[in-house]
Amino acid sequence: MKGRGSAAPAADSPEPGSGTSRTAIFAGLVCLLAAAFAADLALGSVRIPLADLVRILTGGTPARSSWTAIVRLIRLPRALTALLAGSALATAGLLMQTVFRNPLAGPFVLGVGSGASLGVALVVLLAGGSASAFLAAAGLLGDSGLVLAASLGAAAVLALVLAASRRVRNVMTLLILGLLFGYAAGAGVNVLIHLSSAERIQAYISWTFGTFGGVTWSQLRILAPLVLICVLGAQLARKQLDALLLGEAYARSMGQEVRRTRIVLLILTSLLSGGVTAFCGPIAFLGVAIPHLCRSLLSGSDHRLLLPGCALLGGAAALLADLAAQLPGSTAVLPLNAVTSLIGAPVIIAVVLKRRNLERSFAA
Amino acid sequence: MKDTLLSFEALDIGYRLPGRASLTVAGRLNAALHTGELVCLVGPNGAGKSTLLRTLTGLQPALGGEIHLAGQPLGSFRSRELARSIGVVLTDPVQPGLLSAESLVALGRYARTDWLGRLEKEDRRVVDRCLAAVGAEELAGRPVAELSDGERQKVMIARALAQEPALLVLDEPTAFLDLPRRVEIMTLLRNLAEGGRAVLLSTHDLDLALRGADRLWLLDGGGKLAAGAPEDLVLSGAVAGAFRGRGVSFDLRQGAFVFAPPGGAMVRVEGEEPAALWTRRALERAGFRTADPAEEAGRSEQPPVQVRVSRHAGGYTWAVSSRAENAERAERESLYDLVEYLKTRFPASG
Repeated sequence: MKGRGSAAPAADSPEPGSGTSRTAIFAGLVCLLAAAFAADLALGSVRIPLADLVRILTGGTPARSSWTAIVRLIRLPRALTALLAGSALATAGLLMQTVFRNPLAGPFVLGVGSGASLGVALVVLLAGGSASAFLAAAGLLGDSGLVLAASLGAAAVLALVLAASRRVRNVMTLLILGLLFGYAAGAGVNVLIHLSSAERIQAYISWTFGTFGGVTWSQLRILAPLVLICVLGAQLARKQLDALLLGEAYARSMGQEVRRTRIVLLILTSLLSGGVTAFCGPIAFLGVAIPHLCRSLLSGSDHRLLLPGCALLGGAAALLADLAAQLPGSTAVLPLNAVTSLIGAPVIIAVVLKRRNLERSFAA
Repeated sequence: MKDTLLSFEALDIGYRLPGRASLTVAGRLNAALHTGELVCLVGPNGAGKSTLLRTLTGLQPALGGEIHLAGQPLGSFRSRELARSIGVVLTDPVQPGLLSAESLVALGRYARTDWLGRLEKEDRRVVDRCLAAVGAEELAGRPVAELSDGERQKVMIARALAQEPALLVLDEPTAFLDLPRRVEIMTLLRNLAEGGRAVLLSTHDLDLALRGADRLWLLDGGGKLAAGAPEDLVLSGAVAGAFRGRGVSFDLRQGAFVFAPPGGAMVRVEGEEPAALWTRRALERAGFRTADPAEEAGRSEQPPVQVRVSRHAGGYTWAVSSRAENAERAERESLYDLVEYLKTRFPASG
């Protein structure tokens, strides 16, 4: 999709004998991603045969003309969003786990997700007539208003985190600050919920379920370049990230400009997680779990392997979760967040327990 | 005179606390480090050994004074240049996850590879050479998480070596290692110093430092730094002074710390070595003073207690005789019994 798999990172793997198996794993990941993407397009409340799908995508006419609209206007932006969001969250989670050397870190440890939630809560729960009128006047429909609110909330927390990161010496302090920002924003949301009417709370809760389906083509024009630039940018930081595996003091002693690296990585993470949350809602689980699954599968901590691995596997996992949430063949839809955790957790637990190499990756 | 690699004058080390006066751990320090020598930084806990090492390696700003590396002010080095000159092994715990030992050593090439960290042939050669230099070739493919403390320390040293630095700085490289491993690391570091580098390490292992270092930097608890050959510092009393504490004293004859300054009766030990040596050690531990045979030769007066060790087929026996009344003689079959007997018979006079 984005040409990252073709880098064949395992080709010059330093560990003898493991290079071929890693190449095979990457080939498998690319195939999985392609299959998940095709399935997400083909399956849904209406099943569209693969041949017709190809015809639609290549500009031809399918057996039923309504399918063209379904694929072009609904499923294609939806699948692209899932792919982008999965890659983004997995990459952001990997960055944070490395920067904080903490297996529980994820894309939202900096509190960016909570900031986005607070922004959305302010709009959904509080917005009176004037704000709605303003949004309508600005030509923004309801969903775009949410995106804007979430972006502003995420950006506000990002600004706080960056301001703090200039002052703190130790990156672990930042982890605690992020946690506190998160609690503060969460408390704000709680107060707003307490003050709101049932319908508005319902609207807010449904936002927190998360979905890949609300993103339009015009919104993708913002989300896609943002994610692509940040995910590709993260690929270029593999040397810095590898050095950070030893901690900031060692990274500095080996020649890294630690503070600059930290700020760049924080900005990348915040843009990725904030951007995805703004457009898709708070998608839990993927960002924390996919990096672990990648380490376990690739049996390594080299970011040369993990960065492309997370981008591929994150995209595939998000597509599969989206597919499962739509319960193909039925008209019912499950909340996306429930699906990622319900189906994802057992799969990942099974892989981790079976391979038994993860406990070493953060072992004390 | 050898080349001066690192020198500092009137150096103040410590911590800058935001909004408050800075906390000076030690001040007005002066010393120099030359190529080809191994210097051990020793001192009691809290004297500022780690702070000094972190300051000298640029990981922490100095509060005052000047540090020169190869004649240039330390502050004028960019982090990349600094990493090519100084390799550091810290006490920070290392959890590099599933990295192999070889990948970990390759991280040492950070300041010498391109922006993506790609390893050229030369880089790989250096990595192999550094693994070999620490005797860790066979560990190359092993995940670092599986290594023992000693093996991991060797790999971390190889990583610092891979920076091809003129100066190697190690904070407590022998902590948590057993004695053979400590000697092994020390020997390795000596070889590295002789290979045209300077090696500076801090250690709590004074014995190893006294035997292995070309020079000691002795940082006492009062924030003063004394530099010199280990033997010079011992003879001048600087070592004993820096480590003075309750219940411990530095024994000049043994070149080691002993428990509690001896205050008990004077005992003369006779007999063949090494049995006599170990008898003296057992007695000193129990608080007796043991007479130095050389010192005693000129003296006519006999010490109050004499112990004669004799060896026979079954082991050793210790015969005790004393000038005291009755001139009772006693025989003991083990040092434990001997010490217990002497403790009841000649209690310390307080």
